[in-house]
Amino acid sequence: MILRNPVVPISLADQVKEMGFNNDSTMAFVRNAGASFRLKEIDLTGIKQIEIIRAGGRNAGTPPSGTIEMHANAPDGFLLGKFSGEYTDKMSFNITPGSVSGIKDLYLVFNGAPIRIKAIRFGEGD
Amino acid sequence: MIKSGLFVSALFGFFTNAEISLAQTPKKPESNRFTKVVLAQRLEEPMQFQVLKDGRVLYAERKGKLKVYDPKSQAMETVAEFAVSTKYVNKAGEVTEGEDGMQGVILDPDYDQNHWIYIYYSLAGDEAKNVLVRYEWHGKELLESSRKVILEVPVQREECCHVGGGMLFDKDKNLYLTTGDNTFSRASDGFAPLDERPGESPRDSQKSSPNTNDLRGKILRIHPENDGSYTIPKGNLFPPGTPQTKPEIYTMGNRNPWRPTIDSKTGWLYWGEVGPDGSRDDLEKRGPQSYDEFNRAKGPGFYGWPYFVANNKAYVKYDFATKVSGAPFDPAHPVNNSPNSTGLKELPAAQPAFIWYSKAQSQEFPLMESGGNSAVGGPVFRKDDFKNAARLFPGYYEGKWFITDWVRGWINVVEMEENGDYKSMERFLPDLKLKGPIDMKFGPDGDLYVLEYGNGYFKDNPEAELIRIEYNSGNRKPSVEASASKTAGALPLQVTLSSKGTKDFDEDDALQYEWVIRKNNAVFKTLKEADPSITFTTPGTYQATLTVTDKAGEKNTKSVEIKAGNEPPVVEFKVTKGNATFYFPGKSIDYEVRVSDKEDGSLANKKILPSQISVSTNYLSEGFNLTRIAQKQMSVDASAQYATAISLINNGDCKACHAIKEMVLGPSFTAVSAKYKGDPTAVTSLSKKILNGGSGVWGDAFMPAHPTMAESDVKGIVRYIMSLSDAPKPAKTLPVKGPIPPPFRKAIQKAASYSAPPTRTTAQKQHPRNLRRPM
Repeated sequence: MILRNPVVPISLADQVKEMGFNNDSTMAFVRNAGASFRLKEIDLTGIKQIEIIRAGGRNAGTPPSGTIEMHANAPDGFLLGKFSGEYTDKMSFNITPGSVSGIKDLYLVFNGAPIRIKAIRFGEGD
Repeated sequence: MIKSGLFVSALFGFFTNAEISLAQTPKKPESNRFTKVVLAQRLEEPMQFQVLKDGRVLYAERKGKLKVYDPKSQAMETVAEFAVSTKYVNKAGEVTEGEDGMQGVILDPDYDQNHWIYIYYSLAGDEAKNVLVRYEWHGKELLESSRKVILEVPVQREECCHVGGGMLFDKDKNLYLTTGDNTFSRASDGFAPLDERPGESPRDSQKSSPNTNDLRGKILRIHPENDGSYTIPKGNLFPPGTPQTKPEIYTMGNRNPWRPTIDSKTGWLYWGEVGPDGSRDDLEKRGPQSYDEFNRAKGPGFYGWPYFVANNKAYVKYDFATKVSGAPFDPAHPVNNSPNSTGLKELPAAQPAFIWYSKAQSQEFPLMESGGNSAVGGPVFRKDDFKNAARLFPGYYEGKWFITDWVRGWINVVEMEENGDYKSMERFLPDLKLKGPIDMKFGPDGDLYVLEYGNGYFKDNPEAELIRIEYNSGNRKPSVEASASKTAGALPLQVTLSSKGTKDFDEDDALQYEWVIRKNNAVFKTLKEADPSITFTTPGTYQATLTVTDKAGEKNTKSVEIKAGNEPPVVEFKVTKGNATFYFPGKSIDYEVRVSDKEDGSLANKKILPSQISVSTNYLSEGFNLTRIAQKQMSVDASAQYATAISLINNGDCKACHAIKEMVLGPSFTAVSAKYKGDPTAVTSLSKKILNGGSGVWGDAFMPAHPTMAESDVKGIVRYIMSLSDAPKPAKTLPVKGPIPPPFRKAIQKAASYSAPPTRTTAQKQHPRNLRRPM
């Protein structure tokens, strides 16, 4: 059994839809609204907060905005949490308290302006 | 088939120039003209091989056995067993398994006349050294009286890794031997190990690779003489007599140079070289991320380690005591100022790597892929090297270098310009995935042989095989796959055998299938179906061999092993408090191991004792490292296996005659252990004595026979007895239940295993990325 660093690089995502990667898979970018990827079998025990870490480089002059949602077990599955607004370097949202626990496949779904992602951080909220 | 036909005719139709170039350059042969033939399966840590003229294959196993495979009888025989050192003992007295052991074997160029073979291995005993020895061998056992020690490489056995051990002869009968840097690779954050603090020389590669006065971290070049000595050939890096240098050195600045080869036409030396573990650049403070290399030397030279890697990317001078970084090293003027070096300070200018690739996707060499890596090497094909070969690779491959990687399992073919510059690379047999290739070369019959170690380190991997790839210009042999629905289980065991995946590329071939099931080499059953079912009602290990024959009578076979009468144990590792995906700094985790075994009971019903379970955790700051886990789990496994042996002793009749320390009727276990200490045959011979009985060694008392005991149990008891005279005890296993306290910081890995000979299961979930051997 392996316990990982709670910062998960985007290269570990799978079931990717409407997203592209750079050559060494250290960055993923959204191609079209509705884009999503999966992080497989994540234990949510004790996890209170999710942070989306944006990749640097070419970003638009006026701050773009959009919605990022996290769903359990399917892109349209149970909504675990949501970020909405202008993109910043790190965008965090809380997991709806008491909504879910245990091991789940997590789907992150992107709507709004295109965005470039480097990693996802799982936090205990303290 | 149809596609490529259309493509070629299109070229002929529209481009006359293409026609000319096609006539000059041989066309790439179809992949299905190559057949993989499995020669021997279930090898035990094979390292390096040699193919004899009659097709026999002599090979070395890391744990000390030299074996020969005879394709006529399809039998494998042990030629000799050497007492080898495989362990390291650190300052705290902890024992870990290392890469040491028997590394390789090579035939003398005049073997037909003088019958000499050379073996490179880690000598067991107090004196830490690897030795190159020569023996006379006529096909059966080694002639013990012919032993000559040719060369000794002194090493340290405090912290593991990098032994090298690749060997080859050039046309002038000079012997090349690769040696590793003998340096701990995991205390330098994935960058160069340059720890100059007093007492830390095992963590300072500057003592070896860039030390002009040390034989480690090199490719040595010597000319063995008839009397067992050697002379220094012309053209090495330092002329004999140069102060503070070793004249044997051909290349220096090597980390773990693995399998060397020489292009017989140009005389240039090529080899694979394993790099460190880091996967990120810190160019300002430490240096580049890690790169593995495929190298080429047109002459002697300094190949950079530990100051440069890849195409001379420079590491940064770093003080391990103060953690202060200095300037990057200068490839034009490298200087070795380490107090651990005994050689010259001013070194030759560094040579860049020929091909280099990191864990990330390579921009320069995209076919190398990404992920964990471990460069091996491979042969350069030259038609003229083969006289009267039965089959020969086509001219398309003339002068090209076949390379492979232990983790990635592909074979790439590298093409060079006339002047030796890199030209291009292509995949060889895209569907072929090798399972831990560790040595690859052409045999005298023109076939490409590959020794597959398997992908678990320090383990007798069930997938370890000797294979060869044959090129066939006429009728093609069937390509055979064999599998079983179950390979172990309780009686009665019903198994469906499957030939799924078997195919033949000659379209009109009708195939005949035959399964022969053997137990103890005697035929148990023969079945003439492609996918038959069979029920085993008596316990034992069965070998099911599928032979497929085509219309022309060409055959190919593959085997699968089935163990009836022993269901593998089920091992579960559960986190009972804390998150089971992530590790958070400073938090403790509670865990529980659950084990159940159909035959032996479970932890819950107390038939399996907690002391029989080995549990270990590792904190891995540099990413997932399979070897690190294997090293630690192996040492705690030993203590669990001893616990099983102790319970067998307590429940059997042993104590009627023996005690640990005192003589009873028979000798004490400690005395037995002391008497046979260092004897590599002790486990086998003492096990025989327990099973069959004996007397005379320790006075008149008779040792009764124990014919009902399982051989694997008896061997476990003997291993425990033998351990009594080894001073350092194996590392202690963690309990089967409890908290893992901090102070781990980034990520930890856990492994639990339960030993129930002869089947063993390791409960270990592994992430596929960053799989890594620290060679």
